Formats: sequence, structure tokens, C-alpha cells
Amino acid sequence: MTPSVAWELVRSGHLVRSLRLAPFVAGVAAVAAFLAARRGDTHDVIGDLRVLGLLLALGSGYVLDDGAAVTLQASPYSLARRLWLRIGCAAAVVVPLWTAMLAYFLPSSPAGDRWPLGLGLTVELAAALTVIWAVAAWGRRHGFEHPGIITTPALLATLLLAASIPRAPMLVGFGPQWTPAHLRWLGILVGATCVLVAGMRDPAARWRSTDHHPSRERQRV
Amino acid sequence: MTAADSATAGPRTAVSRRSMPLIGRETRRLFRHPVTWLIPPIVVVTSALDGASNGRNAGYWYGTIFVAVAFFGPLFVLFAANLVASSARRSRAEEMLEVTPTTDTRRAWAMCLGIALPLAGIGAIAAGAMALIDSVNTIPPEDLLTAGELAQLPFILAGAGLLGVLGARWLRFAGGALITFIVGTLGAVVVFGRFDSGMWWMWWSTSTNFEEAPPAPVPGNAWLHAAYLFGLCACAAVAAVYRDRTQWTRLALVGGPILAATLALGWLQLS
Repeated sequence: MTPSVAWELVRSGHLVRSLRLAPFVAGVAAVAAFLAARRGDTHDVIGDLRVLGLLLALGSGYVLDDGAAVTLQASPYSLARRLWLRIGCAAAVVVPLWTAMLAYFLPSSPAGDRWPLGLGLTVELAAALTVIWAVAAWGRRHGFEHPGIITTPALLATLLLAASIPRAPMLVGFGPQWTPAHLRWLGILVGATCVLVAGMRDPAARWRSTDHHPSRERQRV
Repeated sequence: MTAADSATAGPRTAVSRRSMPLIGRETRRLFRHPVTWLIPPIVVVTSALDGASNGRNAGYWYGTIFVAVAFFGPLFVLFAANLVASSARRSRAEEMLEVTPTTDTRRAWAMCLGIALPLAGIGAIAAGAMALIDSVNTIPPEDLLTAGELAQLPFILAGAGLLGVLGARWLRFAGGALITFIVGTLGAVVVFGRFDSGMWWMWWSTSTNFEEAPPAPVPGNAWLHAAYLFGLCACAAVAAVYRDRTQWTRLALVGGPILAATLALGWLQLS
């Protein structure tokens, strides 16, 4: 998918209309409600940012649901490009929101801890988002038209399993275990990214796929 | 069932006989669902990986059963029940079901009973197992649940299933399950955590608390909380069954008194 086509889809509003907005709005509304319930209390930086990140991740799980997916299978643009465009659309909302939340909460922590805290919590959110999108991409690959609904239990199961390993704690407070725990989160992020990329590969593609972009096809002709 | 059987059995028996296969089908669909099958591996893996600093003694298994039934179970049963209850809508089979000789109300009753009854049975078995462990071993007093608190377990598990059905019937769009989950868990924890008696109004066990605060800072009756949870289950079932716009009069007539009784029980449990 060329940038011009992607931009046209965004500009004309077709892409936004094809996204499942209800879960996304629900996630953002839950974030707003949580912040309102806290009433400006920012003493539990790590706990609160984890809950807010979880809500954002859960809301983003439906972004790969596409009612027109079957019709678009015949599109000359690859599955990966179509899915990346939808993921990019979600990221365009999640990234500014998360940045704003970091800017709101991190000043409550000691000055020297802000960078490692922000970076670590961002890695956690990125890993959660990638796991959710990897599950959704594989769900679509295996015939689920709307895989978003299974992403929430899948993410919860992953988090519960990850948090249950006492020798390799994942949900730690800021301290000596912070860096090792977030190296493990980074490992999950890398693994989930590999699964996501594999799940995005067009089922009909061969291992050595040729470039089927329409402009190149025309040049060959 | 033949026509002769129907004639001799009477209308009420015939209706219940016709509903039994529907109830059994919903039960089978729930227990065959992959999301339901997430629960055993999670319980097994988390308990296997648990450090168990005091060893895997009776207290450890007592706590493991409680966590499985009151935490892991409801969390995933909510989604499994939602997926089962919304499968006809998601697969666009509702039009085909409209022409079957079974009404939507009866199918919804069967769905609620087929999901709630076996879950309540599992909760009762778990409560029985915990009572059995307590009777033959010494459980630390801080972990020990009273009989009233054990009686809450079946309704917690069945209630999660009914909440999933309720979400599927009323929030008929993608993301309905997520909204049900967020409102039912995180929203409830935040809202009910803001006042002292919130633990008693929450649809969960009164034996423990999410925060570090002592459990149930306001005194109350655990048996009446179990009855309150049963009332919430009944409210969810009635609201799910009479969801159709043509049934809203019946929803008000049947659901109103049940809701009033549930609120009365919720108020009485605190005295």
C-alpha cells in the first residue's frame, strides 16, 4: 500500500469508519474515569500507570477487526500493509495519550528515577499491545473475522502467567529488580513482534514472494 | 419426545422436557469453549510455579482452590459465557433461529440456566472441598473462610457467567464484552472501594479485599451476602431473558420486585 493510498483512506475517513470504535472509546473512557477517580492523586505512579496502560491495551485489541476483510483479500495490497495501517491508526491515539499520562504522573517520582520508570512502563505497554495484536493477527489468519473479542482473555491469561513466576518476577516495583524484569518484558516484546509479523504474512504468499505492487506490475508489462 | 408423551405429561412437564436439551447444549458449548479451557492450565501453571514458602500443605491447597474459583474462574468464565451467548449474533444465525419452534425467551432461559447451573455446581463442589480440607487439617485462622463465605463461592462463579450472558444480550456490538469486563471488575473495584461498606455491595467474596485494608471493615452477615449475590444472579438472568423490547413490561414486572428484594438483602446484610 503506497503512502498516497494510505493517506487517502485516512483523509476520506474510510479507515476510521472501518475501525471498531466502541472498545477503543470504552478504553479511553475508562482511562478518563480512572483519572477522575484518583482526583489528582499521583503517589502510586507505577500502579496507576500499569492500570492505565492495561486499559489502553485492552481498548486497542479490536483494531484488527475488519468487516470488509474477506472482500479486501483480493486487494493488490498485502495483508501486512493493511494490518499495519490499522495498527498505525491505533498507535496514533495511544502514543499521545500515553505520553500525556507519563508527563502527568512521572513528575511525582524522584528526578533520577523518571527515565528508567517511563522507559520500563512504556516497554510493558508496548509488550502488552504487541501480544494483543499478535493474538488478533493469528486469529484473523485462522478464520476469525472479528478476533478482537478473544484478545482480552488472551492478554489477561498472558499477564497472569507472566506474573506467576516467582523466580523471574515481571510486575516489580522500582528497585534492583526493575532492569532485569524489563529485560524480560523486552524479550516478550521481541517474541510477540516476531509472532505478529509472522501472523501478518499473507496466507497465500510463498516464502520468496515476488513484488506484486500494481505500479511494478505495470512496468513489467 | 412423542406427541403421546406430551399429552400424558402435561404442559409444564412437556415444556421442561423440551428445555432440558437446550440447557444441556448451552452447558456443552460453555465447557467446550477454548476460553473456558484457559482456566485449568492457568491454575496448574500458577500453582506449580508458586514458591509455596511453607510447602504445599493443606493451607496452600485451600487457598489455591479459593483463588481458582473466586478469581481465575470468574475472570475467564465471563468471556467464555459472553462468547457462547453472542455466537448466534456473531455468526449471523439469529434469522435462522427466529423460525425455529422455540422462542427467544426460552432460548435465553436455557442459556442462563445452562451456563449458571453447572458453574454454581462447580462452585459448590469447590466450597465442599475447602470445607473437607478444613475438617481434616488445620487451616491458618487468617485464611479460614466461614460457612457463609464458602456459600458465596457458587454465586460468584455463576454470577460471572450470567454477567457475560447479560453483556452479550444488551451490548450487542463488538467491544460489549470488554465494556462488561471493565465496568464489572475495575469499575466496581474503584467505585465500591470508595466507601467503607463497599466490600459488602461488591459482587465478590467478603473474605478478602483487593487493597491492603483489612477485609470487610464494616461488619455484616456473610450468609445474607450470599443471598444478596443470589439476588444479583437472578437480576442478571431476568434482565438477560427479557431483553427484547416487546418483553420490557415483563422485565419491569418480574425484575422490579427481584431488584427490590436484592437491594433489601444488600441493606440487611450490613445490620
